[in-house]
Parts: sequence; C-alpha cells; structure tokens
Amino acid sequence: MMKRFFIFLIILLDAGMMQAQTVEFTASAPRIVTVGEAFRITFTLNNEFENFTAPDFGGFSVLAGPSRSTSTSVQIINGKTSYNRSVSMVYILQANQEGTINIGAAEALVEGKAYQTKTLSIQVVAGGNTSQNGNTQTTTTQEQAPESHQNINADETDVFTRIHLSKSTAVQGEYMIATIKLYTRQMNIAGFEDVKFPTFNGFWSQELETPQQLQFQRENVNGKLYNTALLRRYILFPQQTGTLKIDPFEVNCVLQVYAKNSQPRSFFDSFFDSPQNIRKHIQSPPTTIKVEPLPSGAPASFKGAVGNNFRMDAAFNRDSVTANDALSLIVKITGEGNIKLVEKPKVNFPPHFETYDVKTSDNTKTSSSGISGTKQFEYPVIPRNEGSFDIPPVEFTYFDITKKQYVTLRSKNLHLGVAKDPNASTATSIAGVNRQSIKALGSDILYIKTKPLRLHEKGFVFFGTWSYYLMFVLLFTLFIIIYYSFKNHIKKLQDVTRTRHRKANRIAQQRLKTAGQYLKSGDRNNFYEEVSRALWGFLTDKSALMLADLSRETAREVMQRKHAKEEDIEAYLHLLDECEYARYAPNAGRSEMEKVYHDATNIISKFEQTF
Amino acid sequence: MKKIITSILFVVATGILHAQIVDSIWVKANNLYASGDYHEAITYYNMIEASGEVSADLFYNIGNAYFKQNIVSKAILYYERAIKLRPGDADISHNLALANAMTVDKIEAVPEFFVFTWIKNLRNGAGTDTWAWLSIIFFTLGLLLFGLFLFAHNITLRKFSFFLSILILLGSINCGVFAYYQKKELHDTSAAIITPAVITVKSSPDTSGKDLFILHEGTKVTILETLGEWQCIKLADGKQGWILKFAAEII
Repeated sequence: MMKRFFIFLIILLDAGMMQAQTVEFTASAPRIVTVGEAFRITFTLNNEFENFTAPDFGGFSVLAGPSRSTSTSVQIINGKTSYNRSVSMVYILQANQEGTINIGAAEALVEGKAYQTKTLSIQVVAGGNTSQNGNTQTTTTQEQAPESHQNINADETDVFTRIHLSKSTAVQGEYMIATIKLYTRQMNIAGFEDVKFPTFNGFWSQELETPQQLQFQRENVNGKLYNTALLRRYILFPQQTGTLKIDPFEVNCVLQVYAKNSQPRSFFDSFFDSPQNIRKHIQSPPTTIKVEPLPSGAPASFKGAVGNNFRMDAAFNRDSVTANDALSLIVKITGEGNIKLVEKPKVNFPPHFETYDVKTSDNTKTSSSGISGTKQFEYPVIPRNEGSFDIPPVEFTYFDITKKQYVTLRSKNLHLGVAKDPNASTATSIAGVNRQSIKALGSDILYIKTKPLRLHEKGFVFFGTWSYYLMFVLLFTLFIIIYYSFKNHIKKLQDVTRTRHRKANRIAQQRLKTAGQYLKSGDRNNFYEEVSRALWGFLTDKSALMLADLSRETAREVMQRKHAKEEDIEAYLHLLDECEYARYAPNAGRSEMEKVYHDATNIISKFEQTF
Repeated sequence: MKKIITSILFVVATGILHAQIVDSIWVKANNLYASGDYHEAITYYNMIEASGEVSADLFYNIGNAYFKQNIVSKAILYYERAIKLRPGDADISHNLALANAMTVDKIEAVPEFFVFTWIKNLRNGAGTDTWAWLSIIFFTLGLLLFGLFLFAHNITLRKFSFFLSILILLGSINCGVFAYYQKKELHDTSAAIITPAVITVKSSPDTSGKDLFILHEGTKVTILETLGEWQCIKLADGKQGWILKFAAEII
C-alpha cells in the first residue's frame, strides 16, 4: 500500500515538473530601421502552440511571412536528458514613413492557455539616401585615401566617435561614467591604429570592463541610423572644481571599402574586386563637464569622501591586552562612491600609546553604478601603561550625494582595558624609573571667569580724586593735633619737674634752717624729722620722683645716676639712717645733733653743685 | 524667551541696569560659553558692556569668546582692555600672550633698559587703586614713626624711627607715583589694535600716499595724531605711518 502511494507521488511530481517548465513567448525586432528597409520580426515560443495570432503591424507593410521554423535541441548533461524545442514565426516588414510605430502583442494558445508577447516600439528614421547634409559634430579628415577616393560613397566612410558622460554636472568627488563609442554606417572595420585614449586631467579615473569584441548596436543619431560599438568605459571622480575639459579620443580607423565605379557593375566584379583599405583619422568632439565645489561648512573630519550609504565600523582586534603588547584598531568604511580615495580617519589615542603607520587595504567592486566596497584601516598601537582607557569615538564624514549634505558617522565608544605587564619585574622598574618631563599636548586659553561680576564706573580711579587728597590732609592734620596736644602735656610735666629741680636747693636750705631753729630750741624730735625731710625731699625733687617711691635702694640708684661719689653716697645714706635712728633713740646729745646738722648742710651743698 | 530678551534690552537701553539683571545675564552668557555657543555668548556679554560700566572679568570673558571663534584681533582688543583694568593679572596675560602668538606681524620691540622693565613689572603688580591705598597706608605709618621720633627719649629708638619714617614716607610717595602712572595709562587712548585682516600703511594721510608697509589684524599700535579720516600710528619697533581711522580700534 505504502509503496504504491510513493510511486504515485513520484509520477505526480514528475508531471508537475513537466508543467513547471515556463512558457516563454518573445518578440524581437531591430529598435531602429530606416524608411524602405526590409527587416524581420521574429516571435519565438519555447513550446508547441495551437493557435498563433499575429499582431497588427500598423504602419509597416508585410513583405513576406509568416514563415514558421521549428528547432529542437536535445541536451544530455550528467546523464540527464532535456529537450528544448522552439517554434519561430518570422515576418519580413518594411517601413513606409518616419516616426515611432508600435507593434502590438502577438498571442498564442498553449495547452488552452493564452500567452502574449510584449509590445514593441520601433523607431523609423529617414533613409540613408538623404544623408549628404553632413555631420557637423564630427571632425573627419581623410589622411590616407587611395587614388579612387573620389568614388567612395561618403556614407560608407561616415564614421565618428564620441565620449558620453553619464552626468552633465557633478559635485567634486561624485562619480560618473565616461563611455567612448564608435559610430559607423558600415561594419567593415579592419582595425584601429594610433589609438590615443584621453588622459582625464583633473579626474581620478578607472577603466571599466568592456567586451573584447566590438558589438554593434543600432542607434539613431540625428535621424540617421548608425551602428554603434562600445570602445571603452571609465569611471571618473572629479578632483577639481570648475569646468573641466576632457581630452578628445583620437584613433586612425582602417575601413574596408569597395570602390564604386561609374559603369554598371558586372556580376563578377564583386568577386574580383578586392576591398580597399582606407585610413581615417577620427577625433571625438571636445567634452566639458561642470564640476561644482562641495558646500562650505564641512566638519573637520571631512576628508573628501563623496558617495552614498557609507557605513563605518571600528573595533579593536583584541579585547584585552597587557601593557607593552601590540594590538590594532581596525576601522572599516563601507559604501558606494570614491571609496578608494577615502583617507584614514583621525583617531585620538591616549598620549602614551605608541602608534605606528596605518595599514590600508581595500576590497572594491567597480561597476557602471560606481565603486562600492570596503576600505580597511589598521592602526597598530602599543599601550605602554596599564589602566582602563576610553578612546573618543572615531569620526568619519562624507558628502551624501542624494541628500546633498555632509553626514558624519561616529563609531561607538572604544574601551580598552590594559592589564599590567607580567614580564616587567617590579625590581627593575623601581631601580630604573623612567622619569619623563610632562608632555605638552597643546596650549589653549584659560577658562572664563565665572565669579559674580563686579562692575565699576568706567574710568573711575581713586587716585587723584578729592577724597584721595583729603585723606592726606586729614591724616596730616590729625598728626599735627596729636603732636601739639602731646607736646603741651609733656611741657607741663617737664615744667613741674624743672621747678622742683630748681627749687630743690632752696627747699632743702629752708628745711635745714627750720632744723637749725629746732636745734637751738632743743626740740630733738622735730629737728631729726626736719633733717630727714630735707634729705629725702632733696633727692625726690632732683630725681622728679614721688616721696613714696623712694627707699634706701632707690635713693642709692638716684645718686649713682647723678654720678655722685661712692663715699658721698655712703655718707648721705648714713645720715638718713642716723636721722631715722635718732628719732627713736632719745639718748642722743646736743653735740651729735650739731654734727648731723653740719654734715647734712655740707652734703647738700656738695650735691647742689654736682646734681 | 524672546519677551525676556526684549525686556532686558529695554532695560539696558534705558540705562537702569539692575545688579540682579546683570548677574542673570552674566550667568546666562557664561553658560552659553560653556555650551560652546560663543557667538550668542558675546551678544549677552555685549548687553552688560552696553551699560557703560566696566569690569576686567567681563572683558576677559569677551576676549575668550572671540578667541574661541578665531577672531584674534577682537580677542586681543578685549584682553588688552581687561589687562588695562587689572594689570599684572596672570590669567589675562597668559591668554593675551597666546592670542598674540596667533598674529601674523612679528614686531621686534625696541629693547628697554632692564631697570625700567623691572619697575614696570613692579608697577603692574597692582592696580592704580591698590597703589593709591598703599600710599595712604604708608603715609600713616610714616607719620606714626615720625611721632615716635619726636617723643621718644631713647636715642637709638629716636634714630631708628627717624630713618624708618623717612623711608616709609618716600615709599608712600613712590606708591603715589605708581598710582599716577597707572591712572595715566588707564586714561590713555593712544593704544589701538588693528582690526581688518590686512591694511596698507601710507606715508601721508592721503590715498595717493606711498605704501610703506602692510599690517595684519591683531597688531598693537600707538596713535600719535589724528587728521580728518586718518591717523598717524607708530609700531613698537618705531615704524610710523598713516592709516584710515576705522582700521584701528582704541583699547
């Protein structure tokens, strides 16, 4: 049961595969024809059909057809056999008038299903007979034409070349395609000599792949039909601004022509006539392009990259390293545009990272839609110290052609942890500490002041104002006032002492006189008191001291200061002692009193002279 | 926001600039500077400047904002104005030196006798007001010491106080002289900064005058005299010539 089911399934699948072969129904015809030219239109179907309905050929008249042809091909690949069968319906048509004529869809029924071709649009141009009016756009010079050049139909040598640019204006760095094409009325081109390709001054150029063999296509140029062939294609990136001129493309074309004799050609002529080789120097007309400068205000990280869809990726090739270990930062820039001209973005490594030359490699694909690919920059670095470092994001700016503005790409923050170098022994690092002076990384102005602002009147200066001078006057007056008040006070004090000093002798004499009276009257107590007062009073008056301040010691000092003789001082002090003693010792006689009186008078009169 | 600005402008125009408003503008301008919007910061600083009052800090900040915008001539002009108000300020001189390093013209100043340079440096160590107050303080001290000389009994004390008082009174006079010179410099309007990128210095106050030399922006010149639309300038190296008035902005 199961087995049978499988077989059924396989058959079913097989049938499905048979049916899955798609039906292709196409129509092909030249795109451009001349009036009166006979051309063929072919409808091809890769399957057997049941019913074919030809379209309406409009302005074309059918010269012949339909003719049916069938082709079958059998392919055996790796033991698998495949059949290919196609049926073609061919019509030969002729155009009657100029213009563009549309041919509708042909219809065919395949296994009951209707298929249609696409509609074709055919351009009809004036015939070659009217082509004598010349071609102003080509500069043709016949350099080397054999003897019969007057007989050569101008039509057949009508060959020229042009350089086509994909854009008429571009901004600096925007890509464009330059195509060098050959236009000819006939295909008998034997070869090229002295080919001179343009140098594209002011551009960065790269040649694109072109087919090895010339492939001719029909093209309408100013209402005439030409066969065109692609010679070279370049991709260009303008590096300068302004109107750039592209050098002409020059070539010597070797054409094979048959001389046209005036008499009617015999049947054999074509066999025996060998074609003549004539050389024609052709040159493309001058081509210019206006290149506009990029808008101003480019960020600092812009270095000329122009294009679309740039992407940037930056990463270290290792996540963690030890100090003195090499690693690389890899920055990949991918995009379309002048990727080959992209310069390395600036990376700000910490100052003690040792950096080396950046390795650049690119992997690009050049096509007619520009250059796309990846450019890789490898920044080799060696961190010399351990630590955790943040490297500011890498910035890359390009000019986006579609957006017409600068786009800045920023990588993510790059972080690198550097571990301590295990090989560096601590002993040596201490012994040979590599002292370095502080590296100046750049200079900048100091930051602004942010303290609260204290404004003052413009041009106001304290110096020279009235208040300034008043200050001096006040100070000086104050000084004078203080000086005089002090002076008067001192004078007063000085006056008191001076009178005391002056009167000291007189007072002492008076006291001695009263003491003399007491001596006569025999009043002992009063006598000694008076002598004592005379002695003490004399010293106090002379020294401007108060009586209370005097003692035996101070009295000695006062006398010493006044340069009294030592024996006199002793005598004076002895007298003072005696007076003191006698006042309390009543047994002193009259003779003693007289001696004291005498001594006191003597010593005071002695001191009067010295003091 | 716009309303606030116009109201502030109105107040500035009428000249009744409140200290509070000045402070708010000052903080705002400093914040703008910190965020990197130097152009806008200058407009706010100019509002304060328009009040007619001055401050070394204000001029210093304006100079910084111009420097950050790479307008070197204006930066130098404002640094010079700031240092005129506060001579000897280390920050201002540092930035001024940096800005001067960016100017094109290299002018070898006529060398000065080193003592003069020392005296000038000493004088620039303080502002005119400081010197004025110092002269008063020294005068007071001198008088006190002279008083001591007058009343003292001790002969050595008298001798000592006499000479010291004379010395200090001389110092007071010196401070006064310094204050005088600084005031003179402050009121001096002959120093100017070249503001156009390039100007040609003529031999006479006339467009037909012979071209003598070329000056670039940021160069400091001394204005000797003014004649109509022209003024005679002198460079630090002694070169003289005539330029149009607008080309040099007075510090």
